[in-house]
Amino acid sequence: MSVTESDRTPGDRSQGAVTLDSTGAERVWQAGRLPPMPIRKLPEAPQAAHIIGPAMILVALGVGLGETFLWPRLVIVFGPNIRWLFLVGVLLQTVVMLEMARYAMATGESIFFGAARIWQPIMWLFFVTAIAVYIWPGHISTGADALEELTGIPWQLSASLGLVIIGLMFTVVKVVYNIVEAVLAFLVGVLVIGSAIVAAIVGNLSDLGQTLEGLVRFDYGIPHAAVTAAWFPIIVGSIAFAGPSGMQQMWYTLWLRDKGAGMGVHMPRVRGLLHAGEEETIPDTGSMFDTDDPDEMRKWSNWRKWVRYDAILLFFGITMLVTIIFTVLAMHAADVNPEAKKQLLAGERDAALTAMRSAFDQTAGILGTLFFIFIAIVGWKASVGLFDAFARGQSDMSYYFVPGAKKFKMAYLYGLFLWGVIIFGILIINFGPVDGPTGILNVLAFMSTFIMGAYCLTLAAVNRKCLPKKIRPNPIITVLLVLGGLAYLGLLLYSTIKFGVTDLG
Amino acid sequence: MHAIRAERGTDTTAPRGLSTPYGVLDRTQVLELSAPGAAIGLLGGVIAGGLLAISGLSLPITLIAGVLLGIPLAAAGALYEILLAKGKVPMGTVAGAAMVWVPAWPVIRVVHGAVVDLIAGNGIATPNGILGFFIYQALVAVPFAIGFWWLHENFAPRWWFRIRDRNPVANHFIRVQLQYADAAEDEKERQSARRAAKAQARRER
Repeated sequence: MSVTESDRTPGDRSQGAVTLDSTGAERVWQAGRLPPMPIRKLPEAPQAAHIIGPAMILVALGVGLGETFLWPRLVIVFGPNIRWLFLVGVLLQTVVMLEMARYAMATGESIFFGAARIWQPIMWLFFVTAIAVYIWPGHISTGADALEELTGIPWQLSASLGLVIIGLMFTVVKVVYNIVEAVLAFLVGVLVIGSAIVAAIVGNLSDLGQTLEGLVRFDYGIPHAAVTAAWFPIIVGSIAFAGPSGMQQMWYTLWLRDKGAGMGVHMPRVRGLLHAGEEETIPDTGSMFDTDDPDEMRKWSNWRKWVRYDAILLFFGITMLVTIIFTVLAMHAADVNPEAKKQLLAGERDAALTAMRSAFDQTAGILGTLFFIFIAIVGWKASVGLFDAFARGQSDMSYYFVPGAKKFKMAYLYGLFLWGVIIFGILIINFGPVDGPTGILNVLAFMSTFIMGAYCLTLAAVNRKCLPKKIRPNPIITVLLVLGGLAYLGLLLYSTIKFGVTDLG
Repeated sequence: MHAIRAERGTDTTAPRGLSTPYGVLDRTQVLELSAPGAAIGLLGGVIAGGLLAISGLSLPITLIAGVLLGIPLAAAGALYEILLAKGKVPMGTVAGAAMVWVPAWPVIRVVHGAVVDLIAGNGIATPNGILGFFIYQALVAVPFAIGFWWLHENFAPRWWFRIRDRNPVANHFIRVQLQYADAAEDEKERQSARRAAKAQARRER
């Protein structure tokens, strides 16, 4: 039996066709320059939309320092109307998320593999950039810094301890994804409930109204006071930190696979180091379903519905919700403590954490403390997800593309990268040439913007070149991705050329 | 917590919380069924109390404020569980959680705010008037409902699983959930059979 796209003849082996393979025994999908994907059955999508997908992890990572620190700071300085930029950033990220899911669910491959199908050097660019950006213990050190303000425990001690706990946690568990999901689910729940309680006690209807209005004030543009060497790079970094930043969206494709979404069901899951022996055989490539089979297309349509629910309600909804609450808090703080705004405008950016705490403290004693608690939780929570993601992404790329790596189990490669980044992090925290936690975060913010521009363009190309026509994205979506990629890169370039600075935090 | 693979298909025509065997439950069974919702509500009180405690308020005010928020929130959380068990709210939806919290939250907050203000000697104050205060609290109830729903969806099924042998409603909930697992098992078996058949074919060649 031959399977082909409607406008192709059976046996056409050119790129883009679904064909018989050379032996005639197995149907394959030839995508890009790498070995073809075998045709497999698409599993049924969960009919109950309320089954939570990996968007939850993305929310847990996405609702981080951008929402709780960078954007509240901008609101204190420039007012709530600056928030329209946040809305645009998160909307673009929602589109990116749906497109990442399209490739991962259709093939069971990560977006890194997809990039390699287009041109392997692109994948290596991501591999190298990931190391350059994510070996720095930025999030956990900022969180630990906040903890030190609260308790007096030296940040080096709590950050090092936090890293070791993360490493042990991912080493002893049977299936790594399960523990990531459980820990982050609990922390996100506490974060949302805690934010709601504080908003109920402190905020009011008028602040909420202004915040909602600010989100859609597209006419506000970028205020003149923001187009300065001090603030424009920060605005660029904050846009990159709206929702999931850096490579988080790329790693989302790996979590989808472990969740068994779409064709990810045919790929084995990453196991903890102590359970490496239970690892299943890993296929050489992902797989594709028969897009000419109406029943398969019905299942595909159900998977798209499932991921849309994940993206719109969980990802977009909860990100906006938490950020609206934090804006209400920031506005209230700015009203009662104009001094904080002056300090921030005077360039006291390294003292921003303290300045914002003092602003919050003026509103109610509870808020200053709460702000630091959130920063501490967010820092640790982000590290849980990021270290898992980093090790997952690097081990995936190494396994498939480093010669000889397939001799090792995926769990060993995962463990190698995980403990590598943890040991390096501990060394940097205790002995490294760091000029304080915020310094590390700035490097991350700069590289985030670059990588986001790069992955938008890569994703647009992968989904157009490596998927059968029937499941390719609408051209408008491709245009949006390209424009988004150009916007991220353009803003970064403009900021660097015009102001000659790279401090985006 | 046990993370669930998403490939589980299910029969959506099955009743979702409707026609449960709630009527046969005795008081203890109702109480244990209410535990997850009550615990999440209580968690809200603990968060509020903990924050007030570390913000330097006196111990009596902190305790009163925590209890005044924690107990009603726990009661409303338990009410959600009972309504769920009776099939009065849909299972597993944000709307179901919002149906309970949007009316309950503003009332709880008004009482909480008034009593705490009185005890602290501040006099009762409602920013933007009582109507504005109510509307704002009703709006804030939605994020609280989402947080509640989130934790409930992730952790309540574990509790139901634990008590399923002695609680028919929990058993009913688990049966609905297990339909997914059955489908996953079937899929796994089908895959194993395919692999075995392929291996057999290779050996024969």
